[in-house]
Amino acid sequence: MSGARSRLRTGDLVGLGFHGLRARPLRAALSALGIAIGIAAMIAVVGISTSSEALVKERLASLGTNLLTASAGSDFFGEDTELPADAIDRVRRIAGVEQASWTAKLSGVNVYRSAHIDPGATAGLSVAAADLELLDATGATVAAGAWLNSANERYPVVVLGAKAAERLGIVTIGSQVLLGGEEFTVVGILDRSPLAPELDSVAIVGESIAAELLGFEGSPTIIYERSADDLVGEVRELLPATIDPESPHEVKVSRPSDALAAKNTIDQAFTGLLVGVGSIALLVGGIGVANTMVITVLERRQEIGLRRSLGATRGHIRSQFLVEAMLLALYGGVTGTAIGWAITAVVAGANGWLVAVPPAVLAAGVVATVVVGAVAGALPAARAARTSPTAALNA
Amino acid sequence: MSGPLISMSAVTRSYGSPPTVALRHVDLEVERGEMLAIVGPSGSGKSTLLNLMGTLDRPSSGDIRIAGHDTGAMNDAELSALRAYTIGFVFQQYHLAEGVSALDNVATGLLYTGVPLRERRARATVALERVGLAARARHRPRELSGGERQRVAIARAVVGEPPLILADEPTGALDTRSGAGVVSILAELNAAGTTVVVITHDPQVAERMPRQVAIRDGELVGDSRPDAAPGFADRLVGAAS
Repeated sequence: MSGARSRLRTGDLVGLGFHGLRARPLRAALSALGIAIGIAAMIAVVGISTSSEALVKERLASLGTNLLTASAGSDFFGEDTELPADAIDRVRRIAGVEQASWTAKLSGVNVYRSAHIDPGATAGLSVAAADLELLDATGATVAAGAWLNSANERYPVVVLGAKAAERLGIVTIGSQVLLGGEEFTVVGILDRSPLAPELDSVAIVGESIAAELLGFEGSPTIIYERSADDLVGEVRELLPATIDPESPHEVKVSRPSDALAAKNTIDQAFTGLLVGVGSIALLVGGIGVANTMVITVLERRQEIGLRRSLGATRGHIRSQFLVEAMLLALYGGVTGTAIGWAITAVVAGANGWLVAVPPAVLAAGVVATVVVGAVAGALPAARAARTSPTAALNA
Repeated sequence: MSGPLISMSAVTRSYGSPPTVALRHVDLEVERGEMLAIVGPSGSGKSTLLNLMGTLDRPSSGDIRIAGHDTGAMNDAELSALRAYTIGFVFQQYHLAEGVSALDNVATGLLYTGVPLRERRARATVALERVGLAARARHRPRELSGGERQRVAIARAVVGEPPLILADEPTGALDTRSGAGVVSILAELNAAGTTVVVITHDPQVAERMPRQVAIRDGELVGDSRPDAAPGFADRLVGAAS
């Protein structure tokens, strides 16, 4: 026999680990559950935020990032200003500008469902005049009915923003609303506008009828402008002075797509927080596995003694319990990954997103559990290896 | 190879502090092919003696040589290899794995020699035939009688064909008839060349062994020879218990 060494085949080692778990299935399931919850939380959080991020990116791509918005600021004394009435023509002459449009908030004009409504209950809605190119420039879309056209913009007709329609309780085209004391007919309702959210709570009327009935004097409040993508920066520089050559500093220019992207960044900070919570759950799950393994090692001292008598080295005993802990954690990890993916799929399905869980995240989740299992199992396995075979056998 | 299979000289084992002496200055040699009983009352140190022979424990002082190897100079891995290839253990409580067939329990005896599963099972089948349990290969331990379980445990000890079998009270949990059957199997193994050391406090079991060694309070108090006068074993066991 001299020269022969104790050997344990790798396949047999893994088999021993499975055998240990099978011996007490309920305990294995419960301690794997802790790990599973941690991993499921992390996968679901990452999956849901990735899926919604994919949607934001898709929306930004379709909405375009070349829209600039210029609005009247406040003057040197802090008073609200208006943009010059001829500003829109000058904006359209800037090289690279493809579309431009405007809205003008009509101060002192409110919209009501009927004459019986208390004049103070404006529901936070305002009334604005707009030119006909507004939809093209902002990318806003019509949910019901139609947008204003050159034929009807001279008549008392109105297009409602999504929130305005909701708050007024208008669902059917052709309803009447009271606008500046006059009956206006609703001809269209807009979808929510991601790039120009201010349109959501506005009742929009044509330029001519606004001048005729509502005291509109031709000065826009907000100018919307789209240019070629590579010229956005230059146009942005030129806009204030073009719009108001006398006091360019009173014009505020912003890029709405930046705001959407920023909102997404905030979501990511929130994701980070949730991933942190998931990590804590994983840590607690790891402690659960360690606890289970400590008890298992104590309970199986006779088995350890027997294996030592059959020729197992301390290393074989340590490996056996380490593999068992890793398999236990892996069991939780695979289950948790599946649960996390399922949660993502359900949430994404409910919101109409595409399920986008990065494969690297799934792999990282499984690898993380194996690492947790190895760390959690290290101490119990070392104790198992130190167990004296005689004490174990004679117990 | 030549020389005794087990050679213990001036072996002392004490535990704790202040030390409690479990075994004091034991000299004992076991030749290849021998079959002997170690007899003594409980607490006499016979289990300690068996653990030392089986390299599960190390002496506080003295030398133990197993199959020519100086165990005091061997590390854990080397001692484990010695147990894997040279020594088969049989315990009073069988120590079989529940939920695993008799065949796979026997095959476990070869687990730490790196033999592939198929070959382990093939050799386990042969070992079960040797102990007369071929028909019980698929049964779980709880489906077997005590005597059958102990025969499975013996098959596990001999499946690697080690030159030495150490049995610690192998009949202690069995009725007289099953115990006699187990002793017969051990005798057959010995007849086939395996050295067998049996710890027992049962005079009837000890009497069937060619040699008896008596131990009391950690010291050897008697050692018969195979050619000792008839009735020696009775007196020896009577003196020890």
